[in-house]
This record gives sequence, C-alpha cells and structure tokens, in this order.
Amino acid sequence: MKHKISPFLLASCLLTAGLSANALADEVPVDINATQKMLNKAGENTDNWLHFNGSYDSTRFAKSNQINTKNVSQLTPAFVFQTEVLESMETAPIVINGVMYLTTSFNHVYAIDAKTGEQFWHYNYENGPITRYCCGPNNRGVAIYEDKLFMGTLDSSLVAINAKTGKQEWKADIADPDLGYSETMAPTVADGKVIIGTNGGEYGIRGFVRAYDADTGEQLWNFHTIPENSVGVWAETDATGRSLHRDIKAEKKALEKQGDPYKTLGGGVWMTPAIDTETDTVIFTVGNPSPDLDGSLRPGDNLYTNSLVAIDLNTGKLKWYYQYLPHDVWDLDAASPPVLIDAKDKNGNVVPAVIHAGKTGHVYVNDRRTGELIRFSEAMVPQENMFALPTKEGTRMLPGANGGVEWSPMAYNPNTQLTYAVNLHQPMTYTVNSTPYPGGSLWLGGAFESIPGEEQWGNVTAVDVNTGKIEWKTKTEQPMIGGVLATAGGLVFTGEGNGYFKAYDAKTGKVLWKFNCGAGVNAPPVSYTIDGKQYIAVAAGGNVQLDYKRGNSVFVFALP
Amino acid sequence: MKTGTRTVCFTFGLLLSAAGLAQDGNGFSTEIKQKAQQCMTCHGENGHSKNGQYPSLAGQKTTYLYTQLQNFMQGRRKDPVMTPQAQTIKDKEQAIKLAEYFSHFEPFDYSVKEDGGFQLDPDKVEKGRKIAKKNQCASCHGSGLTGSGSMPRISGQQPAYLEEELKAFRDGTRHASVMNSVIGDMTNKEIEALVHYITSL
Ligand code: HEC
Ligand code: HEC
Repeated sequence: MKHKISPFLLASCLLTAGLSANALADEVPVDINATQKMLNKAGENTDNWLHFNGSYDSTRFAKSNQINTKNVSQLTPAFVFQTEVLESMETAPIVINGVMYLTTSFNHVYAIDAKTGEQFWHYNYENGPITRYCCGPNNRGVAIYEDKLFMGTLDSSLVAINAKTGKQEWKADIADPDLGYSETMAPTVADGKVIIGTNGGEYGIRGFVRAYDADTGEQLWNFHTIPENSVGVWAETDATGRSLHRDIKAEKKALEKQGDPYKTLGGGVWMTPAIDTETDTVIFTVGNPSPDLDGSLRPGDNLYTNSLVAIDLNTGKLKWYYQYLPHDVWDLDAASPPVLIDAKDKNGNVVPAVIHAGKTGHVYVNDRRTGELIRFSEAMVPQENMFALPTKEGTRMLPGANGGVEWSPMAYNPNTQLTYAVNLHQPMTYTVNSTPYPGGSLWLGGAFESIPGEEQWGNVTAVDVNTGKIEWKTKTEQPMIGGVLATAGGLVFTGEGNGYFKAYDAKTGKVLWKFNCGAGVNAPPVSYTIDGKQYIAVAAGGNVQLDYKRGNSVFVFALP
Repeated sequence: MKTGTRTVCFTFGLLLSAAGLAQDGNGFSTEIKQKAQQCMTCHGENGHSKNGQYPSLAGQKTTYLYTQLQNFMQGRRKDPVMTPQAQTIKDKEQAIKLAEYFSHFEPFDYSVKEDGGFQLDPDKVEKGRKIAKKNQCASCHGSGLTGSGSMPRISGQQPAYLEEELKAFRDGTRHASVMNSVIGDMTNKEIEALVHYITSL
C-alpha cells in the first residue's frame, strides 16, 4: 500500500504553527487500502460498503441478517452526523475498516468514524465560477480504490483524494462546465481505471463515459454515448411495442436539411455504471436527448440516448446497446443504474441478465451477453395517453417527466428473486417550444408542469424478475426519490420526502419500522458491520427537484 | 491532537484575510472594481438596486450573471439600456470576473417596508403560491427561489423588474425556451400574483 504524507502540509504545520508531527492526527487513524480483490468480493463482505451500489453488480443487497424482520422494530439511531452544508443529499456513503466517507451538495467530503460519528477530516472542493447542472448542486458519493477516493465535481472535474489524510492528490478537468457539463454521479474504479460519465443532457452536450488512470488522472479512453451516426433504424415503437407517433417523413426531411444532430444531442449518464468482472464489461444507462421535449431539431432514433449500453472495460469500445425509447420527447429516459443478476430467459433457462427501472414505469430484463430484451414488467405506476406528443398548449400524459422511476437505484434480493424499485406518480402536461441551441444555457425545448388538483403519490414496488409480475406494491404519501437497500434479514429500506425512513418486509411490503429524520430522506441507504454490530446508514438532506425539506445529516441506525 | 491542523488552517485564514483587507476586503482587482462602479450607477450600491427598472445583482449566482452578460454581449438578450453597457465589457474573462464580483456581496433582499410603492396583497400571494407550485418554480430556482448555479435567485428581486421579465418571457421578447414555456400564455393577473408571491418570500 502506498503511504503518502504531504511534505507540504508537514512543513506548513511546523513552520506556521510551530507544531510537531502530531498535527497530522486529523487523519483517519487506520490504514485504508481497498484492494481490487476486496472490491471484487464486496458483495460477500458484510463489514464494508465499498461501492455506491454495494458491489460491481450493483444489487444493493447486504448479506447481513442481524437486523431482520423479527427485530427491526427495535432499530434506533446509533448516531447522527451533521455536515456544514444544508442542501439536498444524494450520497451513498462508502464504509471501510470502520471509516465512513460521505459527500454533500457542492462537493464536500467527510471522513468520519462509522461507529461514533466522530469527524476525522473534511475536504471542501472549490468549484470554479461557472457551474451548470440540472437538478440541484448534488453529489452522490465517492468511489474508493486502494488508498484513494475519487469524486466528480459540479464544474466537471475528477479529483483524487488521499483516503487517510483528506488531501487532494490530483485533479483532471473532464469537460467545459460553460457548455453544460457537470458531474454528480459517484464514479466506479476497476483495474486502476476510474470510470465516470457526465451530466448535461439538459444543456445540449455530447455525452460520454471515460476512464482515467487512478494513479495519475491521465485519460485512458473515451466512449461517446452519442455516435456520429445517431440516426438508427427509424423505430416506430418503444421497447414495449407501443407507437411513438413519430412523423418519420418529416424527420427524414429535417435530417437532410440539418444533418446529424450528434454534436448537441445530450445523452448524459446519470448514475454509476455496473461492471461485469467476468467479461470486463462496463454496463450503464444513457439519459435523454437534448433538447428534452423538442424532437424537431434532432431527427432519428437519437442513439444511444435512453439506452442500455455495454462497453469494454479495457478499451472503451462498444459491445452492444439496447434502446428502450427511441426519439424521446418526454424526458422518460434511462436514469436508474443497471443491476447485474441471474434471471430466467424466455425459455426458462437461467442466464446472465441485466435489469433497469425506466422512467416509463417498467422494469426491463435484458440478456447481459447480447443486450436483447427478455421481458418488461407490468407498469408500476399509472400510464395514460402514452406516448402522446407534446404540444404548444400542453399534453397530459402519465407518467410525468420524473417517471416512473427517477435516478433512484433499485435493490435486488437473490433469495426472493424480487427487485425493489421506488416510484413517482406525478400527472404532468408536456409543452413543446422550439428554440435553437442556446450555447450552453438550459435547453429543454419546452416545459413540464404538474396538474393542479391531481393527486401525487409514490410506491415501493417489488417485481418478480422471472415473470415481470408485481409481487407487492406499497403506496407512500409522496413521490419517491432516493434509492433502495435490500438485506438478507428479509428487509427493504428506503426513505421519503416527509422525513420517514422505513423498513419493509421483503416478501409482503408491510412496513415493519419507521423513523422520522426531520428532513427528506432521498438518498440510497447502505449497510455495514463493526465489532459484530450491523449498522444501516442513510442521508437526510431533502431534494431539490421535488423540493423536499432540506437537511444536513447522515443517520446511522443499529439494534440497541 | 486535532487542534493541530485546525490551528494551521486558522492561522492561514488570518494571513489570507489580512492580505485580502489590503486589497479592500477581497481578492478582486482594481480594474474590476472600477468597472463595477459603472454598473452600480444603475444597479445600485454593491448591486442592491433601489429602482424597479434595474435588477439587483448582489449575491446573484455567478453562472447566471455571467450567462446574462454573454447573452447581452452576443445579442441573445436585448435591452436598449443594458445592451450598450454589456458592449463595454472587454471579453469573457472580464464578464466572469464582474459576475463573481457582484455575486460575492450579501444577496439582495427587497423590502416591502422600505418601499412604500409596493403593497403585498394576501389574496394575490396565495394565488401566486398555487401557480408557483403547479409550475414547479422551486425545482429549478431552488428552495425559497434563492437560485443555484445557472438558475437565478428571484426571491428578493425588484418586483417591477420581475413583472417586466415574466411578461417578456410570455411575449417572447426575452428568449429562454424553458421560461417561455413555463409562463406560456399566463394573464397579466396571474403574473401579478406570481410577483406578489415571490415578493412575500
Ligand atoms: C444605464 C443603466 C445600466 C447600467 C450602467 C448597467 N446596467 Fe445592467 N441592466 C440595466 C437594465 C435596464 C437591465 C434590465 C434589462 C432587461 O430588462 O432585459 C439590466 C440587466 C442586467 C443584468 C441581467 C440581470 C438579471 O437578473 O437578469 C446583468 C447581469 C447586468 N445588467 C449587469 C450589468 C453590469 C455588469 C454592468 C456594468 C458593466 C451593468 N449591468 C450596467 C441597466 C444598466
Ligand atoms: C425548468 C427550470 C425552470 C423552471 C421550472 C422555472 N424557471 Fe425561471 N428560469 C429558469 C432559467 C434557466 C432562467 C434563466 C433564463 C435565461 O437564461 O434568460 C430563469 C429565469 C427566470 C426569471 C428571470 C430572472 C432575472 O433575474 O431576470 C424569473 C423572474 C423566473 N425565472 C421566474 C420563474 C417562476 C416564477 C417560475 C415558476 C412559475 C419559474 N421561473 C420556473 C429556469 C426555470
């Protein structure tokens, strides 16, 4: 393990304050080294939480069963950690060797004692003057590899931070924030490659996924999520076979006149990719085309927007893609991260599969070897008037533009073979208003409006991946955003905008426990174990997009 | 033990702020401060406007201010008074610096009490609140409509200016596809209600 102490810090301590080396005690007191082996086996290890989604498979399944359906009613806070930043929190903390790393809006990182909440260090990245982001100054977390943490920033940089000292080791500029590029996702690291996508689908960017050298920050490869030929096959229907009401003739004419729109076609990647370590494949979902609601400026299927994409970990070259919703004009994109599981194919044979919860309200099951669609689930939320085109006056269609399912990661329990998703029901009208590319400013090509008097709500939904049937569905008073954790204790954890963090019975959907955190719980929960005690941690910072009450805390729960 | 590095940071902080004081409170160049004086003749001392014709700039989000300056400089946003002003800005770098400068002041906060001209009407406030909810203003303009990144702070802005801009979005004389759609074909009454609501925050 590399063990670096910044000579500069040491010198400045000695010179400026006349202190001895014990000034370095603001460090994490244990050695931190997340080896490739540990990262590969993260799903098996119940002590640590090493990936944003728990493992490279992204199942968000904790094998611990200490907290279970029988005793969860006794769950109580072990500690609450408060940050200095009162703004939405979407962080999934990383936990290793009893140390927790969490992030906040505006790119702060904290290292704390995961047992007591005592702070070790606080790193505050200073964003440049220009930042353009979609849905609040969010950050979803760090990735860990060996002795370093990696974070994407609002001004579209990638920084490496020493996990022990909290000092920045390198910084790589990813793209120009003035053109609408920004970072909110937690990166992922494999074989020394830090893998990160980009946000900016609301600003007319050209999306990508990239690999950077974990040691140096040097760019290793780039995959454009928008190919130079983005036209595709002029698909008339979506993955479920419903008509998209495209005017293909008019689109072809527009293509002739305007050319391929790939340079400003969007295709951001919202969430952390999954990695199939057996085949060295990076699998991720690509978001909406730009401008969101105006298809007239972007003829064609708009590849690879609203798609599931698999690329080679070593080269960044395309392996396959599957487009769920060609030529989207509703922002019903693919945001929630893909999850790698085993599932039955159409013939009942168990195959390597990948599932994704769409904003459309379906869970899609695809073959991981080819990308081919195996099945899609029943709709988890009401669908009405699908896919009616946006108009100048506004068209009512369900689901609303937040979905379905937003960026919220699902959790998959291999014991129940159910996948758990959180839903939104928000009736909206879709309005189109065509304007040319505004040079980096917000570019939606219209607006979404909620409909007064129409009730909004949420669900926690369990879907059988082998049949696509909904096993259970439990309603919540507000639309849901944040993400899910499933555990071997037969539990499903997820939070709500009203401050409630709840535990559900994985088999029935019954609420077995709840606790009010005083601010919106709109972040993915995690599980870890220290000295034989299982802890569940979740951030309560509210949400910008749905305007849920802001907070600044991470709550950590355990049995008494 | 822990105080060690904190002392370092604290000492560092003192050094920095001492250096800053020598430069009149902050790290901006004399050139930018002089240039900003020109702006303050309309936009008010430190960007706190006292006149409904002119928007306040103080504490407004840097990215938003910079974007608007670029819009004026490149003709995407037009105004007979402001356009010639923007044309005196040298380049992109100066625009960013001016934006940072006005952004660093305490945010503007229009006070109904100080300005006898504007009277809040509770019915209009309520009506405006409903419209704001329907149109999800806070999902972009942030909690309390205080802005974030490229989304402007609008709470505490001059009410007359707000009304003029909302109408300009409606009438298509100010282009921003999102706001043009959001405001759509709202009536003058609805826009007035929104202004009352925003001013009540
Ligand atoms: C002679 C008066 C005047 C001067 C001097 C002036 N402005 Fe303006 N400014 C205006 C007016 C009027 C508007 C509103 C224009 C509109 O309604 O579109 C405006 C708008 C703006 C806006 C947009 C604010 C918003 O909320 O959208 C910015 C930014 C701005 N001015 C910056 C500056 C800067 C920087 C300077 C100095 C270089 C400056 N102005 C000098 C009159 C002035
Ligand atoms: C989808 C995001 C979005 C929504 C929703 C939204 N806005 Fe905006 N708003 C913007 C952006 C972006 C701008 C900057 C436009 C530009 O570049 O000129 C803006 C600008 C404005 C301005 C001009 C501010 C200034 O200083 O000149 C006002 C006023 C405003 N919005 C009010 C509202 C109100 C009131 C609502 C709800 C009824 C609303 N907005 C909803 C994104 C949004």
